[in-house]
Amino acid sequence: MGVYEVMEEAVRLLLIEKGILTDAEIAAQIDLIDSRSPALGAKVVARAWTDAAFKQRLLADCRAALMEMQIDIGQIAEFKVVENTPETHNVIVCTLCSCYPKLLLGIPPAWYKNLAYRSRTVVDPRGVLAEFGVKVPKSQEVRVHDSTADLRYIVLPMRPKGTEKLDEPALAALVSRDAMIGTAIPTYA
Amino acid sequence: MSGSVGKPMRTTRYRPGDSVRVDDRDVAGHCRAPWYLRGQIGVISEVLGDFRDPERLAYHRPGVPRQILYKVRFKQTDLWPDYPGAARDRLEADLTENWLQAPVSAKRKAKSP
Amino acid sequence: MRKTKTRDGADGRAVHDVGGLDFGAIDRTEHDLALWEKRVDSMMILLYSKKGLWTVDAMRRTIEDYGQQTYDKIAYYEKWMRAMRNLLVEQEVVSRAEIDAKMAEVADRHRAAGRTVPTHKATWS
Repeated sequence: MGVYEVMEEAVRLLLIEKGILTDAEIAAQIDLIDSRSPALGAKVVARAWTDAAFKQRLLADCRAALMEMQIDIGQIAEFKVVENTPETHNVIVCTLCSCYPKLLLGIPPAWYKNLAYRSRTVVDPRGVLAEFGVKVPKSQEVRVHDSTADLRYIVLPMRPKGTEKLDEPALAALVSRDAMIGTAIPTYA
Repeated sequence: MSGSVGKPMRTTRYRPGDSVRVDDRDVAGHCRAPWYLRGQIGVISEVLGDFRDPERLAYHRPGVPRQILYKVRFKQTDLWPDYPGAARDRLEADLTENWLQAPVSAKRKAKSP
Repeated sequence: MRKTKTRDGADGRAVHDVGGLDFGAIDRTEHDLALWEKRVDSMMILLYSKKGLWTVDAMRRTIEDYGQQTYDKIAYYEKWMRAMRNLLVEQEVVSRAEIDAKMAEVADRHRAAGRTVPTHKATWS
């Protein structure tokens, strides 16, 4: 085991001894984060694809719209949804740390937190997107969002063509974590 | 905003559409204005709310005075002269009022009749 | 002016402020978190949101104060763990001596159970 793993155990034991935290609180917090995942975000996207009024509420006031779906995003940050359109493809990065809408999408992928993604996405977003297999036509604006403050961003991808007959669960299955970061585009065969 | 993180808006110095220059002052300690944006000129795209000041919160202070937070849009080709993407590409960042100033040219324009 | 200078501390670019630099290809390997990493995540959030011992801003500031060598070398939740330890000492919730003693105790217990535990101490600077 590593030195930081030892440190975690030592600090946890000290905090419990001093009555600052309990095992139960830590376990409950782990359960909370485990309950948030890309699948949850995908449900929100599918709802927005099928309910135009919900989509407007989601874009205008993300916190309140998520509350309608019993998703409480807590008091650490505000969330904001940015919508992909034929004119604009959005992609999210945090160059200064790794801000991420964890209370919707769960723990971010390792690459989102690493220096390569954080450094290059602002200066060469199309190159980064190409590494993810996403080619954005030059006729479409690439809009990078550097989450430098109290807002956490989620991309609302475009609904793929040919999905008119799919219901919400089937639509949600098309939405990946990366599609909500902007580094993937949902497709339907 | 319906949450308690950002408070309802008070009077703001800038409005959507205004040109702003990100200050390029020396940084001592915690700073949320990225280095690549300092000194650059962008346009306010949105007023996001009224937030406690992260630069003070970082040192266990109450984070006052609160700061208006703006979404500022930059042309990628302004930020990086050899930008490899498309001319239409933009970058947006969220910056507090104490990091923004009116660009010199915009100030002059305001003074002329 | 294109702002792509390396972050040697010159001109105010701090160690964490990496936008516009080039750290090469993106390693897209997926990692599941270990239990200890989930605990670090949970404890940190509880300490700043529920217990109010500091803010997320103070956590960021603590991480940004690491030297470049430490910042680049240690993993994400190692950065968080180190920040938690440093902030607990800064806020006088626990002392360095208490942490050193408890880490030695934990390490000894794991060694006695036959696990390999590093002998070097974690640095503070």
